Amino acid sequence: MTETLAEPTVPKLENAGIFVKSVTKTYRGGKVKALNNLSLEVRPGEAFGLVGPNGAGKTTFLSCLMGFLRIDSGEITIDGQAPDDLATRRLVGYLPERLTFDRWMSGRDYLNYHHELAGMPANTRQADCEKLLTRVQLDPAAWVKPVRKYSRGMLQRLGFAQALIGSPRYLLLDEPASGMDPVGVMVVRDLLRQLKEEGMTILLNSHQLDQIESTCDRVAFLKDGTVIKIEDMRAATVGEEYHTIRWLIDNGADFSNESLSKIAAQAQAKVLEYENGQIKCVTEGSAATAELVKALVLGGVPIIEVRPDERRLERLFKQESISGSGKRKDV
Amino acid sequence: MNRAVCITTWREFKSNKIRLIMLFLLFVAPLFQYTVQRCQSPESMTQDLITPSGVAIAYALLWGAGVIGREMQHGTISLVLARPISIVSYVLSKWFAVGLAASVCAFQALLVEHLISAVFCPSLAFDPEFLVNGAERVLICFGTAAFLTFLSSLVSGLKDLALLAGLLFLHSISSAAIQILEYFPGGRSGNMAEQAIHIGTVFAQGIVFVLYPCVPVGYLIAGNYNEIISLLSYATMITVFLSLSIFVLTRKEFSYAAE
Repeated sequence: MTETLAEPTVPKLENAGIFVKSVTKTYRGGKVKALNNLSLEVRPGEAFGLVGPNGAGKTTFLSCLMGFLRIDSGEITIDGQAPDDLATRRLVGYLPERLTFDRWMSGRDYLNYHHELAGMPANTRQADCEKLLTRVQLDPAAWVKPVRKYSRGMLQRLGFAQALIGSPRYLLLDEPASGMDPVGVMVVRDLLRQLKEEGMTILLNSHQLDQIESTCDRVAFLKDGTVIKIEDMRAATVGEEYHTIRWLIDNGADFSNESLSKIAAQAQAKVLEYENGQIKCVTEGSAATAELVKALVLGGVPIIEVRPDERRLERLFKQESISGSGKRKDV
Repeated sequence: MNRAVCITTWREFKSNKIRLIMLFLLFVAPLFQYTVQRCQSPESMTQDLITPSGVAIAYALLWGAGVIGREMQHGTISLVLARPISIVSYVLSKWFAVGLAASVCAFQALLVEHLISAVFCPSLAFDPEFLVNGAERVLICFGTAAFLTFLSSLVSGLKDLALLAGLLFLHSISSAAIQILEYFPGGRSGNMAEQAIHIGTVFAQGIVFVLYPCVPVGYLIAGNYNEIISLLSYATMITVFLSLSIFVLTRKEFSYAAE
């Protein structure tokens, strides 16, 4: 069980949250349009995902939110303030995709340095930094090693710890699990879940769709520097969904294809494939899937797993993204 | 001024073995050279046998080369500026860290030299020339640090040294050109030549003012307060370079997204 830091205070401002209105950002003197009239809103306490092909403008967008890049036009506010305002920087934690550390420092020194840069009190420095390093599950033996000796996964954990310094209200994460081993991926997943429960506002850019799906409340699809769709992950889906349903087969119960097809039909579902212990079926959305599971349980089927054959975000990503080349549009 | 940025600048220097070796050589070489001279002719020991205050430029170069450029090259500057630190505070911290560290080293070298000189020639033990030399070193360190901070904010890595070398080369070229033009005055292009001489002289003087400053500490200590103008000019130069550095960094974008 990992420790949790002090809960960030929930903003009570009228204009709390991240507001992005008609933002345009170009490179090379306007020849390359990285962001094209992009607008979105991230509400306080929300986990918001960014999905899109390479070159869609996700990293540019996060850099604009951090105030590293100057936008050509439009407006960005974080809690009603400009992103490069010093007061805003106190509210935001940032993990870049390309990890850039002072490689001669030890991990602990690096966190101490950023703790001081963040204006945190010196008397809690050691305790805070150790708590953060423990939280990201960085091996204590590595705390005193120079950062240049760290593996990619260790760097990612250190970067995550750095982003959490001062319990920021907003957390901007650019590929947080990139280069991590399976244990690291699970650590990041658990951390994101905890942070969300603590009320932190998370903006997550990741190519790992399952990570975004398991974390985010809403997801924006970016393409050619603009938002083409915002999907509410909490809302029920409509349309065909394919699932594999497995049940316990060693308790003597025997369920035939016919009996299961009959139960499925009651829930407006259809069995596509049958083998002993599992079926593949299609339903008409998440509500129909819930009905099917309920009907099967009532029919005495000892279900042990219901697995979507294609994740929801994966399907949406295909719909929204595959149609284009995904290359940045030069203007 | 930010304490964390200052301390990290010093610690980074300490972590670089090549720079430490160069610092050691810079400390030992003049000391050895002048000590040998004193040993050869201890009876003729004079203030001229003190290492010139210009050596402070080398200390400042060693401490300040790539002071901001290396952070830009490695990308660490973006995470620093993601913290609640203004660019003004960042630049001033970097300048102060380089200036102070170079001053301490340069002054320390002078102190050791002073002790050795005092052993060989006790009459020099309380020579005010040492004090003047030390004060000049401190001023030169902070001046060169400001100039390097500016150059380093323009380019990444250690390319500021290349810029500096380029300026020195231009200085040599312009000085040579002035001499040639002065040798052939008059003629059809007389006015143009005069103007070129004028521009070249101003340019050369500007570089000399920055890189080989004549800091009139000795005159000030001697009570000649007319020279305070030179000191104010030097302070103004430091302010201008720091302001330019802040302006350049404010205009820069710190993201790999553009790549």
